Amino acid sequence: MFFLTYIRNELRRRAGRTVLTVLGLALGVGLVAAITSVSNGLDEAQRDVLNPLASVGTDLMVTRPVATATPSPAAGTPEEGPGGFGFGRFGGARAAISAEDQAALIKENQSVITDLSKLGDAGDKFVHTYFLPATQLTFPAEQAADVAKIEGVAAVGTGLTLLAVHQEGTVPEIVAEIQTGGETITVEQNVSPPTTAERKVMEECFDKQRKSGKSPRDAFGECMPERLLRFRGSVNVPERTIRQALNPPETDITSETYTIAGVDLAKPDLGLITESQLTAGKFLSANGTAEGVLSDAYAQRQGIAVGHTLDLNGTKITVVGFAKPPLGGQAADVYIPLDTLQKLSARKGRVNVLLVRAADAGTVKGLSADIASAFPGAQVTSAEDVAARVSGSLVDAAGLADRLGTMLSTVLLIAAFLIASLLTLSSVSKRVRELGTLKAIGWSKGLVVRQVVGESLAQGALGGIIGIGLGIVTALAIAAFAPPLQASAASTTSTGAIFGLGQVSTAATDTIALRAPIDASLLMLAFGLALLGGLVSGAVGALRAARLRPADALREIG
Amino acid sequence: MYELKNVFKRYRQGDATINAVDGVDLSIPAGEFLVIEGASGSGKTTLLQLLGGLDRPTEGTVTFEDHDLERLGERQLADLRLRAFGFVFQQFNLIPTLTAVENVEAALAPLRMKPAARREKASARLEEVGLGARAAHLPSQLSGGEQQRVAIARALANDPRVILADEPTGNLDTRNGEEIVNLLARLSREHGQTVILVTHDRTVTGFATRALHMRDGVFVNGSRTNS
Repeated sequence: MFFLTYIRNELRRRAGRTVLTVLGLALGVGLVAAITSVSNGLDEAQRDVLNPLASVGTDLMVTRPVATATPSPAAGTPEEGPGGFGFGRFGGARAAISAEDQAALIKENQSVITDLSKLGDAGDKFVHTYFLPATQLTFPAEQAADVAKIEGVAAVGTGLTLLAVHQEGTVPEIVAEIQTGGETITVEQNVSPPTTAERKVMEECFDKQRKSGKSPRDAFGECMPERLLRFRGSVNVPERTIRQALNPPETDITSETYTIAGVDLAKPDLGLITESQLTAGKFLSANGTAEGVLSDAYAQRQGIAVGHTLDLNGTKITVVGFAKPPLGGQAADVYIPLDTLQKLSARKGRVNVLLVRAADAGTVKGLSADIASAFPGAQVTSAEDVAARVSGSLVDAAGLADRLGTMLSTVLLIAAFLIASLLTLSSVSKRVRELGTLKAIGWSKGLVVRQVVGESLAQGALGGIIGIGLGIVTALAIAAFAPPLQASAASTTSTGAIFGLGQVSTAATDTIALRAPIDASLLMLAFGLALLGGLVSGAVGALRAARLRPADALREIG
Repeated sequence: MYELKNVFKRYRQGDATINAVDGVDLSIPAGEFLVIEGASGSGKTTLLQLLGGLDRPTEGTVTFEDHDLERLGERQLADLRLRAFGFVFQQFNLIPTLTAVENVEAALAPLRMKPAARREKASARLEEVGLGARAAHLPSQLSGGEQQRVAIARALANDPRVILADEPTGNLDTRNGEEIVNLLARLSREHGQTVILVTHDRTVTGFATRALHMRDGVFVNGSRTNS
C-alpha cells in the first residue's frame, strides 16, 4: 500500500514532529494509565480495609457498651441482671454511667482487685492473667436467640472480646518494718502511808538497828517495807522492730495488656474472625479447645511463631496460625475458642458481642434500627459505621486519587490531545502545498483525508505503545518507592485508665503497601486513549485539509 | 479538445474585484503545444487552473472532451486530474519525504495497482526523463533540473491526454530550462499529448505550435501560430 509507505516516510522523515507528537500522547496516556492504576490500587486496598465486617460474613455487630448518653428523666430502673440488654423492658437515654452500669462494671472487672498474697508465698515468682471486659459488658449468650427472632436476621454468631492483663513478678512481702522503743519513761505516783502493823515492824527494826550502832540513814533503808521502796523509778523501754502488714504492696510486677477474643466455633463462617483472614498456619479446629490464632501484628510484635505455646493461668494454648483481623471491627490480638475463653475468664455462658447477618443486604439499615430499638443499651455497628471510623493516609490518598486523579487525568488527556491536534494542524498548514499538489495529481478529498488521519493514527498507536511502557514503568516505580499507607480504626474494645492498668491502644492499624495494578483492560484503555488522541488530532487536521481547494493551495506558493 | 467560451474568473481582494480572467474565448485542438506567455499577474496561471479543473470559472464555460468542467462534481474532477491531466509546477511540488520513484508512484496511488506494477511503471517514467539512476533519492538530494524531471515523470505517470505546465522553467537556469522544455516537446511528440505551458519567458515560445500573449486577463496581439 502506497498509503502506508507514505505514512511511514512522513513519520520517519519528519522525525522531530513525530517524536514530539508521539511523546506528547505517550506522556499523556502513560500518566493517565499510572494514575488510574494507582487509583485502582487504592480502591482495592480500600475495599479490603473498608469492608471488614463483610469479610467475616457479618452485616451488623451488636455490643453492650457502658452507656455514656446524657442523663434523662426517662431513664428507667434496671430490672434485668447486670449487663443484660433489658430486652424490651426499658428504654430511653441512660445516665452518664448509670448505677446499674457502674455495678456491672465493677462486678465484671473486680477480678483484678485481688489479694496478691493468694498467688503464693512472698518472694515466689508468679505469672497470672486477668480477663476484663473493660467497658464492653457481657451478657448471657442466650440473648443471641432473641436477636435471631427479629425479622430479617439470617444468622447470629456470638463472641467474647476481653482485655487480658498478663502480670508476672514476685509475690510481694506484704509487710513493712517499723522500729520502736528506746525511750525512757518516768513514772510518778502517790504512795499510801504505812499501816499500823507496818509501823510496828518498822519501830522494832529501828530499835534493833540503833542498838547495833548503825547510822539512822542505814537503819532507814533496812527497815522500810518493800512496798514503800518502789514508789519512784525510771523505765527503759528496749528497742525493737515491729513488722506490720501494708496496703498496697510494692513489688516488681510487670503488667502487659492485650486483647483476647473467643471465637464461636459452632458457627465458623460467622465469628470474630473466620478462616478467610488466615495468613499463615491453620485455623482453629472445631474441637481444638487449646488452640489459638494470633493477629499478624501481635505475633510480629511479640516475636511468636506458629507452634508457640501461650500459658493462660495454667491452660496451654498452642498457636496454630496467624490471621489479619478485620480492621475496625472487634480486632483482637489473640483468638481462642469461645468455650475456652469463657472457662478461663469465669464467664461461662456469657458473651459480649453478637455478629448478625442480615437475610437481605438491602435491609441492613432497617435491621440495625430494629435491633437497636429492641435492645436498649445495645450498640449496633454496621459495616458503614466501621468504614466511617477508618482513617489514615490510605483514606486520604484514596480520596486524593479519586478527586485529584480524575481531574489530573482529564487535564493531562486534554493537554496531550491539544498538543497532538496543534502539531497536526501546524503540520497540515505547512503541507498545504503538498496536500494541494496531491489533489492536483488526482487524489480525491477522501484519499487526502485518509492520509492525514492515517498519519495521526499511526502517531497515536506509537504514542499508545510508548505510553503503555511509560505507564507500567511509572506504576512500578510508584509501587516500589511510594511510602506504605496506613489505615486506622478505633476498635470497639476500649479501656480507660479506670483500673490503673495503664491505657491500651486498641486502635487497629493496617499498613498497606501502595499497589499499582496494571491489567489488560488498563493497557487497552491507555492504547485506546492514544489512538483517540491520534484520531482527534487527525480529524482536526483532516478537516483543514479537506477544505483546501487545490487552486488556493497552489497559489500560496506565490 | 478544449473549448472555452466567454470565461471570467474574478477574485475579491479586500474591496476590490480582480478580473484574473476577463472574458476569454479559446479553442485548443488535441496534440497542440500551446504556450501562453504573459507577465506576472496577467491571469495566465488562473487560466491554467481552470483548464486543469483545479478551479471553476466565475462565468462562462470550460469544455474538455464533452465534459463541462464547471458541472462536474469533486470526485469526477479528481478522476479527470488523475487520468486525463498531468501537472508540472514552477516549484516542482514534490513530496519532500518521498523518494523520486515514490513521488512518481504518488500519481498512481489512487489507482488499484499491485505495488510491483506501480513501482515498475514509475521507474519506467523516471527512465524516460533520464533519472533512472536517481530513483531512490529524496527531492532534497536532487538538483532543480532533476526535481523538475521527476515532476514531469509524475505528470506523465498515468499517460494523461493533457500536460499542464505552470512556469516549469521559472526556477531553473537557462540551460536546464531549455532541457525541460525540450523534454516536454519531445514527450508531446512521442505520445501525442497536448501540452499547455504558461510562462513569462518569451524564449520558450519558440517550441510552441501556438503562442498566445496574455495581459490583464485577456489575449492580446503578438499571438502567433507556428507550423
